Amino acid sequence: MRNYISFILFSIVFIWGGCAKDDASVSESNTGQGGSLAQFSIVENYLYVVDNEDLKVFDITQTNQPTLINEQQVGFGIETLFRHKDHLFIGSESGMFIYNISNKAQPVFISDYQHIESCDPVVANDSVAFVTLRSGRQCRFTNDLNVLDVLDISDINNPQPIGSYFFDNPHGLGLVDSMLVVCDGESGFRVLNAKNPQQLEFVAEISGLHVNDVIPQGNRIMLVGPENLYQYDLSNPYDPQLISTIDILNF
Amino acid sequence: MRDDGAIHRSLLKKIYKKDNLMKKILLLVGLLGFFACNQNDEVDTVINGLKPVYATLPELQNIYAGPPIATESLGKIYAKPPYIYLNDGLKGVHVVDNSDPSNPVKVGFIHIPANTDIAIKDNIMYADNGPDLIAIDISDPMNVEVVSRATNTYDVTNRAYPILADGVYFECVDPTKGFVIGWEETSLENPKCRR
Repeated sequence: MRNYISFILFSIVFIWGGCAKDDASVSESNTGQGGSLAQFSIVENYLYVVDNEDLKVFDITQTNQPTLINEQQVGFGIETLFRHKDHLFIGSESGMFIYNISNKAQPVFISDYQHIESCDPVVANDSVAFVTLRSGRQCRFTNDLNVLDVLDISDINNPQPIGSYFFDNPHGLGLVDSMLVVCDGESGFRVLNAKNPQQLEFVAEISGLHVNDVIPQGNRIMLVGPENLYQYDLSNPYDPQLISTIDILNF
Repeated sequence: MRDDGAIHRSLLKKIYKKDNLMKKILLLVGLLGFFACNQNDEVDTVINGLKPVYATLPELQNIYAGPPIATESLGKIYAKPPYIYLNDGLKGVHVVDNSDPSNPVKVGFIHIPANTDIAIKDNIMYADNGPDLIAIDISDPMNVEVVSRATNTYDVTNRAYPILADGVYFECVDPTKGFVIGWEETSLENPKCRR
């Protein structure tokens, strides 16, 4: 009988513990998802916003009343914001900044990766960050560098470049499991297998479209260009399948 | 004492009394000299570029949902099933019903002047609106309502340029003229700003 009671008590605690985690994931599913060019990011009851030089934190526990609770200067020419677990990756004209948000109300600067000035959206997983750099006056300084940089962030305090891959004019990017999708402006998009971060493998290339950013949703990717919205099925990453295309200008 | 002015006048009299050919040559040289000296100073640089479209405060803060409109210049993308939101210029977001991804349908447009980005939690859309961050209730995407406004979140002087425009010349923004809610093509004379 005592064993029975212990078992029941143990089960209750175990299930409770499980439910606590579920609460977090429920609130996650009530938020949408931006592309890698986003300047907003929602994490549970906090809204992170970047604006040219600053990172701001709004408390959105009361969803319809965002309240500014933290503000700090990050750098200059801040372009993009990406969150992975307890870290924010901020892309700017001068480099990538990594902040820790274990305390969500108060981001703490961890490290940065500086490079020559150009725009850089960034996405990351547990151990690797992927950054694109492209030429073009919008990125303030003209340069001819059009690359995807791969950074080892297994030691988050010390990002280490481990690879660089040439593109035509890379813009936004996204991760579908270990597959990396890179929008290459007027050159379409490319899919790379990033299972071995030391050596990415080009697995697919779709040209004939002009795309600037991508949102992965499960096995599907949504790509946006100046004139079109495309959706592809990436169940077989070696052979992306077009689901739909909208000519938005005439839509 | 010699009077240089008198010598000058006497020279001119001599030239004047010379034959017509001489006068014509002198006239031609004079005209060429005149044009040569002025050629590089008088011509303006005229370039195709953009100029800001200004709005008053009430116009800037006029947030509303309407029927679908034509797309002009797409920017960022945001997805919250079943919808995809596509930012357009500095006007707001197209609302696309993506319940069937093989057949996405534009169902409306949420007008948010000067907007560049959004994020959504539950039924609240957060959006930048000029210097402010606003929260918009989108429970009914065809009938939205601003429910709060965090004023002066953004320093608009940092955003006084056309986005997604490589190498373009533009008329510099003059904040005394109002809030920038768009950019339009124009001919610019000696433009001072370039992106």
